Amino acid sequence: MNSNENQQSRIRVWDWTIRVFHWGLVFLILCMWSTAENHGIWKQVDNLAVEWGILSYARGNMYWHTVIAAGVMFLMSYRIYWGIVGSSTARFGAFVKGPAAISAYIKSLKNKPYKPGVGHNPLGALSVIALLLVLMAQLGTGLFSVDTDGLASGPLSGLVDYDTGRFFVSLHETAFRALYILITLHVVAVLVYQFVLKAGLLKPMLAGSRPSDKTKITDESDQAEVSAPLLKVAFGVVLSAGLVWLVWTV
Amino acid sequence: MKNELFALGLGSILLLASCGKEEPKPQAEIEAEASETAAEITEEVTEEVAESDFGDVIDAREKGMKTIAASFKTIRESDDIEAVKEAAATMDELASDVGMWFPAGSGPGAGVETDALAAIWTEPVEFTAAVAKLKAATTSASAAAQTGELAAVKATIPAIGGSCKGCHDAFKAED
Repeated sequence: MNSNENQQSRIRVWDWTIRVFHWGLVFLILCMWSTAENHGIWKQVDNLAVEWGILSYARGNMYWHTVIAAGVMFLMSYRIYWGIVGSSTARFGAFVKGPAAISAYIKSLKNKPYKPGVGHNPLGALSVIALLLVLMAQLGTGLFSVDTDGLASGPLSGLVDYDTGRFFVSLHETAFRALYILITLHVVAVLVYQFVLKAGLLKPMLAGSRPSDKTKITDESDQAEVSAPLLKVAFGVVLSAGLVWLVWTV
Repeated sequence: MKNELFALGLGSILLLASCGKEEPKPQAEIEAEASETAAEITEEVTEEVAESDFGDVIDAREKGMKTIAASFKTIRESDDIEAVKEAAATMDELASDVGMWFPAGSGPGAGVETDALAAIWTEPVEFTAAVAKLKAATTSASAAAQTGELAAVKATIPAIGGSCKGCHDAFKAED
């Protein structure tokens, strides 16, 4: 908001923590998928960890799945915190809209040229909420899951027996299918905005801003505070790390 | 903090399960129960082989393997020495029998779904060695459990885990 140079031509859309969250989550979900699928690279990671004395024995791909899960939980906790107290485009209260606003938005898509607003549009908000909910289900079921060999398990699996842990795995697999569908929808939607509606969503998610003349600016968004004050971020980071620490050490 | 919270969680589960904690079982009773569990599964395997019902052989084997996995889970996660003692005894008894759960004809091609790989029967020497590795590990775990020192049992986890994983990598299909 303070950069005068940028303000004349570009408008801030996403604060930097939201972008780190988004791309960090993309990377970690790929890792989670890769460890679950048991790709060969994790065997090498395993062997290196033993060689360097980090692990006393090779623990297998699911062990790494549970380690990376801590990162996912950290990001998700921060996102929820940021959705309550964060920047204007990150707050749930600001971007989640009712059915009236959603249908009005869908009708407005017919008006060419399409100009995206500053943050999530009312339809995209549904996708964001669905993704966050399914990811929470993924995390929640994973915490109690046990792998078939009893070799690796989620941090809270000590609270349930083996069979219950295996039941959580079946829920975990079902939730993954839902996640897979939602991620596909998300990517397809971004491509539609890019190529059909000619509104690039990718660049703002990387750079954080979009040229003002390509943005539909309303009164609301003029006042938007797309910023991430360090103290507020630090508090969220400590809170999220603390939650992860609590879950993983209990 | 860590232990208190853990005890709280464990305590509430024990409370739900049995309305209060039981007296520690004597070692002889633990061993008798463990060997009964193992004998049940192995007998079932033997009976079904006699009837050439390999689908049921595989079911019994999977039940046995799952019991081992559940015992290992307890050894890895529980701080209750009595629970760990029972798990170690069960695991050790079952480990003695694992070699008997793979009769000829119960591999892939039996017309029944199994994660057992053909290598079990084409590389019997390696397979027997892998099972022996498990037995050696569970014997030391069981011995450690009888000293009553939790840390001593926990120290055997890498050997058990290594033997599970080593054998599964070579002889068990991916999920």
